[in-house]
Order: sequence, then C-alpha cells, then structure tokens
Amino acid sequence: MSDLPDQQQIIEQLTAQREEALAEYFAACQQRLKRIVNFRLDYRLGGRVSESDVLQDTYVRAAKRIDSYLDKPSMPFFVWLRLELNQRMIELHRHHFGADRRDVRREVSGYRHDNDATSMAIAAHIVAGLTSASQLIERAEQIAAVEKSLEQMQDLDREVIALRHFEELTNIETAEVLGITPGAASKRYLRALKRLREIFEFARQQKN
Amino acid sequence: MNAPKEEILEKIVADFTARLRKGELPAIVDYQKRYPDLSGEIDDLLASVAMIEGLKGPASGPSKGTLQKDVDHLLSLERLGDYRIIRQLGRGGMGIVLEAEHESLGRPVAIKVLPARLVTDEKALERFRREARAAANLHHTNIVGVFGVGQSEGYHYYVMELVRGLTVSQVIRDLRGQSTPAEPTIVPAATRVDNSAPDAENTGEFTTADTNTGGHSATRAISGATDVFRKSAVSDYSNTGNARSADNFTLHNAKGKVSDIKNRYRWAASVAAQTADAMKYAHGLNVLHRDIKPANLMLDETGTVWVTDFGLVKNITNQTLTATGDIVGTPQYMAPESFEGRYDQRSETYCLGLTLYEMATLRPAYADASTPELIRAITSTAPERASKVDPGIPRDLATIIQKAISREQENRYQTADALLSDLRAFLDDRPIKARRASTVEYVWRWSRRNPLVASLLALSIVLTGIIAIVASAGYISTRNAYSALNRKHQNLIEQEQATERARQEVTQEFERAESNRIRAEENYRRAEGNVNLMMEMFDDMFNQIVFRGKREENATELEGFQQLSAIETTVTSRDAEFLESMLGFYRKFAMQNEDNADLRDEAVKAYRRVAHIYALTGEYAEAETAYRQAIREYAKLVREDPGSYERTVNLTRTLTELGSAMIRGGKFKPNADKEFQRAIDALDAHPEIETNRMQIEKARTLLTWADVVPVDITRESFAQLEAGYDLVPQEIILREQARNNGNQRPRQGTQRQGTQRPGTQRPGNAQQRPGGQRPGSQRPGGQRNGSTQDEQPGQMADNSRPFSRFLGSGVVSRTMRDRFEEDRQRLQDAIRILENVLSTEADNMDARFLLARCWCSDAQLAFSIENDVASNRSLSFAISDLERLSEVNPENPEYLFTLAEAYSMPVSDNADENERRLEQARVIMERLIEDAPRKLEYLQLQAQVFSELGYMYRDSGDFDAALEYFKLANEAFNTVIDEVPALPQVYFRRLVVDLNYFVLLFRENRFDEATRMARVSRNSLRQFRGRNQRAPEQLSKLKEMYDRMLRATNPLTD
Repeated sequence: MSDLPDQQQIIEQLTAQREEALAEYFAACQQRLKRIVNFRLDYRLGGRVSESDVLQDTYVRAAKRIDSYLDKPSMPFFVWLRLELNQRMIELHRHHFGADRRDVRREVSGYRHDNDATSMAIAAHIVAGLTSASQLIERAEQIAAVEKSLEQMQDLDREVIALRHFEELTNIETAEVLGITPGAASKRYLRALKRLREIFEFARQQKN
Repeated sequence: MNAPKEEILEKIVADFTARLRKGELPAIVDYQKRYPDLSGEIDDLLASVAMIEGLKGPASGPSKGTLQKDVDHLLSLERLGDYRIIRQLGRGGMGIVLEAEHESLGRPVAIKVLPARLVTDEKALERFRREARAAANLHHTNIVGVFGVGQSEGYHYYVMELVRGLTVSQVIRDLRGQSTPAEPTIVPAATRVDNSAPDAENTGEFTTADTNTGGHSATRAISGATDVFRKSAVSDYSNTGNARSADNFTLHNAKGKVSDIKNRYRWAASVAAQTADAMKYAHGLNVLHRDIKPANLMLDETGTVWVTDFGLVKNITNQTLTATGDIVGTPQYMAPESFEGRYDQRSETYCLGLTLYEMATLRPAYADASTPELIRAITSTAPERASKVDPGIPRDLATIIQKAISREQENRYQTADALLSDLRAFLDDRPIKARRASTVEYVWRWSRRNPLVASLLALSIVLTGIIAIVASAGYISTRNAYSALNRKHQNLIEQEQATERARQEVTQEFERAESNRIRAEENYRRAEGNVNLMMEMFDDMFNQIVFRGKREENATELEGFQQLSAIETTVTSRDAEFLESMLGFYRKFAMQNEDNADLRDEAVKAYRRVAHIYALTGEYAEAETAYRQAIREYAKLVREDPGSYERTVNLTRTLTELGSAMIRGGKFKPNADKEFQRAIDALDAHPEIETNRMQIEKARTLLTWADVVPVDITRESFAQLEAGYDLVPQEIILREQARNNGNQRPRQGTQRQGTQRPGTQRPGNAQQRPGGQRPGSQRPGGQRNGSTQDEQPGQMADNSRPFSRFLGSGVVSRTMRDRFEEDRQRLQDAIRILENVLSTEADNMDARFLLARCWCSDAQLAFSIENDVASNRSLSFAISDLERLSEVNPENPEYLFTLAEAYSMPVSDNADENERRLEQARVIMERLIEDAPRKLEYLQLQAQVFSELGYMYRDSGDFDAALEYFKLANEAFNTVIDEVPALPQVYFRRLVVDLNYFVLLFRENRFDEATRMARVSRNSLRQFRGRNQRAPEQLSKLKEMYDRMLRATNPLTD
C-alpha cells in the first residue's frame, strides 16, 4: 500500500538531501494525500480550491518545516505529512468560512478529531454513491439520515473507517494518528466494519 | 485463539482492499473457502469493505482493468467490421476512440467503441441507435459528422469523421502550462488603435479560410496547443479581411505574451461562438448534445471548432447508469438542474458557458474533485466570477459568461442563438445585450424588493456622468487641436520654411492627432450608443411602472397616458418613490441636452417624463411646470418641421396631458380648457389634418378632454358627506337618536323584519322603489328631499349608492350640468370624426376602439344628468362595438377592460340582462387580474364590479350573495388603498360600499362582522394622504362616518 521506503531510510535520505528527497517522497504519496483532501475538504470550497492547490500549499509548508520534523521525528513520515496537510486545510477553512468553528462543517481531523465532521463526510459519500442522478435532490435529507445513523457508532470506530478507507492509511498509520496501539486499532477497525454493514443495510431499506 | 483470529481477519481485509484498489475483482467466496470457520465474519467485513471502496468513485474502481483489457483486445483485432484499425486515439470513461480506415472506401474514420458494461440491454441499444440516427442527420461545419453505428465482435460502436487536431481541454492545459494569470497590461497606443478599429466587414462568421497558413498538408498533425490557438486567432483576424490587422497580429506574436493574452479572449469567444452556432443548428433539429465540455470540442489546424459526440454517449450512459445508480465520468460540466433530471437548451448554453469560462480564465469553473464533492459544489454554490479569477478579462466577455452560467435557468441565455449573437457582438466590438437586460432586471428586482432609492440615485448619477462624456470637452478639444495642427501642417508645407526634422515631428504629431481623433469619434459614437441604450433602459423601467408591464409597441414613438374614464392611471407609493429617483435622471438629462442637436427629441421627452412622473405622484403644480417646458420645446420642434406627424402629435398629447393634470390638480376648468383647445388648434394647423391618422388624433384629444374627471366632482361628493345627507343610513341615524334619548333599541323586533328572505314582504324595500323602478337607475337625487333626519324608521339606506363613475352623483349642480353638456358635445364631434374615418377605413381598429370609448363616456355623462334614454342608447352602442372588437382580438386587455367597464354600468331596463352583464364584467376582470395582478386600474374596476353585484343581489333580496360581494368589494378597495394611499376618491367609493355593507350586516344582526369591517376600514384611513388642501377635512369626515358606524353597533356587540 505504501509506496514509501521504510521510516529509517526516509529519515536518512531527508537528512542528507532535504528538498530533493522531500519532493520525491511527496510525489510518492501524492495520490494518498489527494484522497485525504478529497475526503476532508469542505465541499463548499469545491469550486474555489482545487486538490492540487492544497497539495502544493502543503508541500511548501512541509518544506519549511522539514527541519523541525527531522530534529525530532516522533511519528512516521506519512503521518507527519498528513498532519501538515490537515493544518493547511484548517487554514483554508478558516480563511473561507471565518474563525467561527461552528461554521466549519468539517473541521479537519488531526490528533483531536472532530467526529461530527467525519460522520458528515462519510454520510455524504455513502449517499452520493447510492443515489442516482435524478434522486440527488433529496441528498441533503439522506445525508442527514445516514449521518444520524453514523452517529450511533463510537467516535473512534467511525474515525478508524475514515482513516483506513477514505484516507487509505495502513493499520500502523491509523494507530499512530489515533494514538492507540496497532492491535487496538485493528480490533476497532474490524468491529467498525461490522457495524457499518448494518448501517448500510439500514440506509438501503430507508431508501426503498 | 482470539488474537490470531483477528490477525487473520485483518490480513484478509487488507488483502481484499489492496486487490480492489488495484482494480481486481476478488471474490469473497475464495476467502471463505480458505477460512471456512470465519465464513460469516468474512462476509460481513468484506461486504462492508467492498461497499466503502465502491463509493470512492471511478478512480479506484475496477473499470480501469477491464477497460485496459478491452483496449488490448480491440487493438489485437486489427479490424472491426468494415474498418481496419490503425491505432488508438484516446480513451475515457465513456469508451475507446480508434483511428481506422473504411476498407472499401479508403476513407479514414474515427470509431468510438462503447465499453461493454454500458451496453447492457436491448432498450439501451435501441436508444443508442436512435440517437445515432439523429446525430447522423446533423450536417454542420462545426459538428463532427456521424456515419453510422455498428456492432461487431461483441462491441458496439459508432463511426464518425476523423478530425485531426486537439481537444479544447488539451489546448487549455497547454496554455495553462505556459501562461501566467493575465494582468491588466498597458498596451501601446498604436496597437490599441488597431484593435479597436471597426471591422465593417467582419460578419461574425468563422469560416476556416486561412490565407496566412495556406500550404499545410491537410493531414499534418498539429504540434501543440499554442499553435492551434495562434492559428485560430490568425484565422479570426484574416476573416476580418483587414490585412493590416493581420500583419499587426504577427507582429504581436513576435513581441510576446501581452497580445497573446488579449487574443486568447477573442479566441475563447470565437470557439464558443462556433460551438453556439453548431448548437443552434442542432437545437433547431431538436437534438441536444448533452455533454458540452472542453474535451468534446476539437480544434483542427485551421482553428475551426469541431463538436464531437453530439447527443450520443451521454444519452446511453445516462440511461443505463441511472439504473445502476452511478454517474460515469466527472459531473464537472453538468448544469445544476441536471441532477434533478431536467435538461434542455438552457442547460446546454450553461455548459457552453462553463467551457467559455475555462477557455477565458484557463481555470475550470468547478475545480475537479470527486463526484460527490462536485455534485455538492455544483448544486449549492456558484463558481467564482470569471472577472475575479482573471481581472484582465474584458468586461463584456465576463458579462456574457456570467449570464450563460446563471444558476437559475430563467436568467440564462434562453437559446444558443441568443448567446451566439452576444458573442458575435463581443467579437465585433459592438455592445452586447446581456449587460443591458441584466441591469434593467437587476435594478427592477432591486426596486421591487425594497426601494433602495439611494442606490438608484447613485445609478442615475453615474448614468448622467456618461452623458456628460457625450458633450464633453474632450472630444471638442481634440477636434480643435486637430484642426489647429492641420493648419500648422498646411503652413509648413506651403512655406517650405521648416527644416526636414521639424516637419517630420509635426507630421508625427499630426498622425497622432489623427488617430486620437478617430478614437475620440469612436468614443463619442460609443457614448452616444450608451446614452440611447440607457434611455431605453429607463424608459423600460418607466413603462413597467406606469403600465405594469410591456405595452404593445406603437408604430411611432408616440405615447402618453390615456385616461381610462373614471379610473385613474396611477402608481403605488413604492413606485412613486422609485419614480422620484428617476426624476433626477430625466431632469439632468433634459437640462444638459436641451441644446444638443442630436439629443433634442430625447431631451424634450425627458421633460415630458418628468412631468408625467409628477402627475402620477400627485404633484400637479410641478407637473404643470414641467409640461410647459416640454410644450415650449415641442412647439419649437414643430415650428422647425411643421409637417412632422410625430412632433405635432407629441405636442398635442403633451398639451392634453397638461390639461388633464390641471383639472385633476383642481385648476379652474376654463384654464385647462385653453390647453385642450391649443391641442385641437395645433392639430388643425397641421398640413395633413385631413388624413385619417390626424383625424383620429383629433378625436382622441376630444375624448380625453371630455373624459377627465373634474376634481370638483370629488369635491361635491365630499360636500354631500359634509352635509351628511343621503349617505348616512337610517339605521345608524335611528340608533343615534335612540342613544340620545337614553333609550336602547331592542335587539329583536323591527330589525328582525329586515332580515326576511325574499318572497316575504319587505316594507322598506317596497317603499324605496316606488313604481318598480329598475335597480340600476336608482339615484339618490330622486330621494333627496325625503331623506331628512326625521324620516320614518325602517327605511333602507341604499339611497347612498353612487353611480360608478361619479361619486355621489345625482347631486349635480347647475354648473356641473352645463359642463357635462359641453363634454357631450365634444364627444359628439369626436364620434362624427371617427364615423367619418370608419366610412373610408372600416377596419381601423384604433378608430373603432376610440368610438366605443366615446359612446361609453357619453353613456356615463348622460346618466349623470339623468338622461336615461340617451345613456342606455350610448351604452348599447359602446357594448356592441366593444364586443365585436374583443371577438376579433380576444387577447387585447384594453378592449376587455373597457368592455368590462361598460358591462359594469347598470343602465339596462332588463334585470336579467343587467345580471348577465355584471357577471361578464366579473369574469373579464378575473381574467385580466390573473394576467396583471398588480395593475391598479384593474383592481379598482374589480372593486366597482363587486359593489355593483352587491347592490344587485341586495335589491333582488339575495342577501347572502349581496354580503359576499360587498365583502369582496370592501377587500378589493382595501387592496387598492394599501397600494395607493393617495387617492381620496377611492376612500370615498369604499365608504359608500362600506355603508351599504354595514347596513346589511346590521340588519342581519351580524354586529361583530359589521364592527370588524368598520374598524378595519377606519384604521386604514391612517394611510390617507390626500394631495389637495382639503385632505384633513375630508379625512375627518371619513373618520366620522366610520365612528358613527362603530357607535351604532357598539352597545350591541358588548
């Protein structure tokens, strides 16, 4: 899944070559980062900010902060990049929607995650996926309905699904992001999948 | 065993996920077979994973793999039916495009093969074939021709012309790569002159003739996007037939980007125009493209646009995919309404608008994102304005884009043709329509919502500024400078005294001045165009207010308000505020341009508008001053050209407007008569007075003269009110007497008698109508002497009923009588004239309609002076003429309105006929109001019709129906009053209805309703804002009447 070399090698290369290595690794995981933007970026920014803009900004940001990361590489490189990406998205959301947190529908999930936002993001994907073009007008209600059922899941379970599938993180990375052990992350993940199936079925019945 | 089990599951899930993401389709059963113990859990988990991964859109879906397999398979085939496959040209979510050769014809073609998964059933196939047939019928320079459909080796495909070139999306990508965002750059003066030089020969057609790039082999592939762009721009220029421009253009190219950016906008507009032309053609044949976007537009090496995939792919995919609940490809270029299943021409112009947006700004209107994100963005937010993304974009082009991509379909270009003509206007440097329409609309909507008078004032100031440019010193001084230089230049040559160098300098200066002059003249023309545009815009708004919508255009520029009998043309108070803000504009315009030869007619018209606005808002003194100014100017214009029909008629109509305004403003009638007489004299002085149209004009003037309701009538009505006779119902008087005697009237008893149903004796009624007098002709005047305060009890107070035109008529003074006779004489003159006209020109509708209106007015006047025979006769003439007219032209609201008015005059001897007419009047008014719900004249007449119906049903004893109609009349008057609080007559008319309504309610013991009605009416008096000096007195009289009503019911409702 990860196109990156192991953490040890990354740190060595980065320390030796800085920018060049950063560019190479960034390019290697660009697709995954794109996924995250796609998933977390508020849809209302869709027309104004493009994925590649965000990625570019993130790269600039990472390049500026690479030294401090290398001083104390406490987390895997990808997790760190993701963090920088999230910071950039928080800035963008603030910029476009003002400082009012309540207005930011989907506060980006960092270490402290915002669960309502995740519910909403997942719900939107589920509904959009299930809905045909002609039914999209009802999507708002459906999003709300699925969002509601997703709220029945535990916060961590929900987040774990988002990280593993929408952000395409590995179990190790997920554990790192959530600050739990890989074993616990895996357990959570499997449980969440089961629960999600029930929710899917429920949403399907509701639609029919 | 717990931990290992979870590890296994984690591994299974990870493996399954990874394979899905690679585009494989791993089967859940395979895992279950390997781990039978975990079968149930595996099913749960993997089903979830499959669903989640399936949601994430096509990028990671399995389609990639299968598509690749299709491609490999196809290429290995070497041939498909009759076609030899040469190579793959491209592929997308919608299929694979191959280059091929038709074997027997040796013709190169392009083949689009549909992905197998899209063609799932016979229905979809049938639809696909049908659409292909429709597409095959399209033959247009800018549409890629379709030769047919085919089926072979399990593939479905269609065959089309092979176009060598690049798609617009490729060009955009290429341009984006090399250009920085456009900055407003200073273009050297020389270039600017050339660019703005008018291209008389530019027809707006974009043929592909390309003189500059001739000699290219037809099949040569195009090396790069810049090339295409440059060439199409060149061909655009060479189309103008202006060799100098083309040369210049080459020069720009060498100089670099500045001109490139400028030309890019023209290129974008030209591509969009060619596409719009193709769309216009296809729409004419009822074929929609359904997927206009940069990727579906190709440019060949001459820069010609080729629209591909007309109506084909999207149709079939939509069909199949709606069923599976999936959207193929990106919805980046879909119109918002498409998501609700609506799609029409306007959706298509929207998509072209998005494409134009992207070509002009080099940025997609909606940035690419995942399907759900895009759907949400498109359905909930508007894209950033093009002019904001790229400030260098020409304003007209930005306006076109903005209009094309309006979120609401109604605000967009309604047809491809409309978009096309604006694009051509832009390319020709002509003013575009979009701006004007949207400004009018914008301002209009603005003022509807809440009168932002301040903002409008600001607008009129800006517009006034534009006018200032027209007459500005800039133009004149350039011209002076030019002629001075010209002289200097001349002297130099003649005297041959100057050195060669000095002469060169001057020559250069001369040339610069020459080009400045050209520019100045052009600016002048432009500014003048703007002025006309703006005048039109204001006139539009003005007409919207005054006439509540578009009037039918007169053949000439004539206008004027036609007084529709007693019901005044008037405006709501909101409109009045709006009009007042327009006043400033018209006044300034008139003042600044009085001496401007080109704009004199406009300037006089502006004075007249000012006057008209004052008259409409009740400022009669100001109206008079402005009318006089306009008349002075019109008189001058007529003196210059006495034979001009327009000028003479404008003069005489303005004179009659002045006369009407004076009478309504309470001026001494003989003074107003002088103005009318002047109008008649001016018409008689016209060299062609004997022609029919002048004769009609004369009749019209006479009719207007006879038709104005003198304010004295209103005065007389209020005088009656003051005197208190005739109007106060006996019921009220009796109650007041009883109260004064300290003597409560019993609730039951005599009053009950009044509520008896028809058929039983109603003594009051019988007494009221001696000799079976017909209801319509009842006139309070007949009872005047009897209705003193000591009248016997029980008498019904319906003697307060006025005739519809003149308030409280029947009490007509001697002077009034004489005046009415004079007016009737004028009507007779008019009638004679019109009959004359009709004898030579029987089908002249104008004359016929005026004649009917003359009869109508005569019927009213005759009635007022109690000449019932004459009145009935005139009315029947009027009605038969009007009925004929509305038969011939059933949609003309003026005919219908006048007919309804005639119907509503209850003069018939025949009660049944009377009822029929009133019923007709009611139906007509309903229809008219449905079409124009806010037209005050209509609402007023409707109120009248309701009250007449009320009187009729009351007199025939059907109290329920009568009460219903009185209620409707009361409500209709209330509506009018809410809209125009400044018309005292309306309050008075309502009072009369209210009194009758009140008495009937009172007699039916419905005291609560009576009280409520009186209270509501009384409260609305607060809005009373009479413009004449007697307003406060009138108000207190009106108030007193309602107070008396309220006092009369007061003890009974306790």
